[in-house]
Amino acid sequence: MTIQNPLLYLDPGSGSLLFQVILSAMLTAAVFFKKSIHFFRHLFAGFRMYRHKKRAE
Amino acid sequence: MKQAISYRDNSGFVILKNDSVFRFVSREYAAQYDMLMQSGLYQELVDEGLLIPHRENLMTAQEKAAYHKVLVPERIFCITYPYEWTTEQWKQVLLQFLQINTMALRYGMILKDATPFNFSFQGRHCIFIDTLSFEFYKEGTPWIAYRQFCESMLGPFALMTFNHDNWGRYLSASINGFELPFISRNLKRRSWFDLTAVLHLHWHAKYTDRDGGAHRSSMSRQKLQLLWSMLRRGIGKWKTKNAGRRWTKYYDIDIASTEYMDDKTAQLVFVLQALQPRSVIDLGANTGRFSLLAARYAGQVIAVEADQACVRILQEQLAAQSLSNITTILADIVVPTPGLGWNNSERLPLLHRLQGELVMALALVHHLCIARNIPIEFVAEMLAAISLNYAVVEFIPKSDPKVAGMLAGREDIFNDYHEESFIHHFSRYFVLMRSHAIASSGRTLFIWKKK
Repeated sequence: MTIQNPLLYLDPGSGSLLFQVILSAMLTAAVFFKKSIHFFRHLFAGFRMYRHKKRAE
Repeated sequence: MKQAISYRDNSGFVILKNDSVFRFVSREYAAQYDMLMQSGLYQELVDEGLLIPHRENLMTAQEKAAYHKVLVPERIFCITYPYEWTTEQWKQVLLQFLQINTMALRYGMILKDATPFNFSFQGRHCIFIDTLSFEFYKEGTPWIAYRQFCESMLGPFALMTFNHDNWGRYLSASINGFELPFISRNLKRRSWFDLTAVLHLHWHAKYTDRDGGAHRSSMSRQKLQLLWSMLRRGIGKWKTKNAGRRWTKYYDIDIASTEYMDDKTAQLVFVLQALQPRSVIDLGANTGRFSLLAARYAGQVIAVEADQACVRILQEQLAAQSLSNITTILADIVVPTPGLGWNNSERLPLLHRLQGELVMALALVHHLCIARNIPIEFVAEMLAAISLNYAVVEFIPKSDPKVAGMLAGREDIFNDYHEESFIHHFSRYFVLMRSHAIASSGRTLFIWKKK
């Protein structure tokens, strides 16, 4: 694999690039997990607010 | 025109000329440099004290034809290298590297390399010195410097944290870092219980010999930010170990009388007040009692000490007193760090970097001459080489209980170790300004002026 940038003077290491594929997949899972938690938190917060509002009415 | 101190990167190069540093920016790097300066990133980094400030130098017509800019970075009094830092300083550098990357990403840039040599210390603060390390970030490209980060920054720091803090010094034998399989093999077993070490060092090591082929990771901005924040959290949790405390109680246990210390301190204050040196080098600084004293009267102080536990105590005091004019160097003056890398001049030898108006060698000469067998004329020659003007040297005779103790278990082969010989050899390079017999001891403080 070649990096199309004349200014990159470092050899990133092909093994390291391959490992980053795995790392990237793990991070995708982490981002998904984080987003899911965020989504459910918002969902429950919204639901709680709705119930609270209903009770107040 | 290029010098070996910077030759790897085609974005530019550095030359040392007349005690000044000039950084030449190549035309190929013009767009990146202009982006760094105009985006506000440079100003934010400088305001935060993370990046060395510079000014743009006036260029000759010849320079204008060949280069985009010539920069003059703010002068660092004494460049220190990673193998001269304590474990805490390493941690500071790693966290700062990740912080700079995170900030740069907000401006669409990234550090294209990851070497601890891009940092130095000014007092107790580390500062990023390679202004030309910033590259455009392209969404979805892998982190090119990842392997270098793991081999030359994270790996050595892990070895210092999980194994022994001497590993930092071993970097002088391998200035480009250690290969990942080597790091993984040498890390203690308990590192397998740490997610950061397992992921970035142990698992990563298993992939170093594999061919990446056509695989290409897509490391989005969000993933990079998450990766760096995880690394910062992981590294932040690593506890630095306390090295042996062989010399840390020197002033409490080994110094017999308070009269001796009070008189010595009073004499030093008198000398420092009279000479008002711009810079002081304290050799064998121990926990920095006299470096701290010198810092009150001198602009800059360099404290050189071989015992990491002592340097750590001094750094704690610097932080507690918010002092910023003492820089510590972890080094053994008998085995000073040599010139390393290409032509032995990519990383400069310690004794070339140490230059001070006044050099202090307090209760040091007997350690060099008796414990390490250094001839007294060598000591005089070395002090003359690093002193620009003055040397304050304490001579401790054989009759002193400490020297007698050092000689107790061995044959006294040190016929040349006496005061007359000391004065004779130092007089080759210096003129004696003053000598003072320190109270309650047979010790003498000599103040020399360089010839």
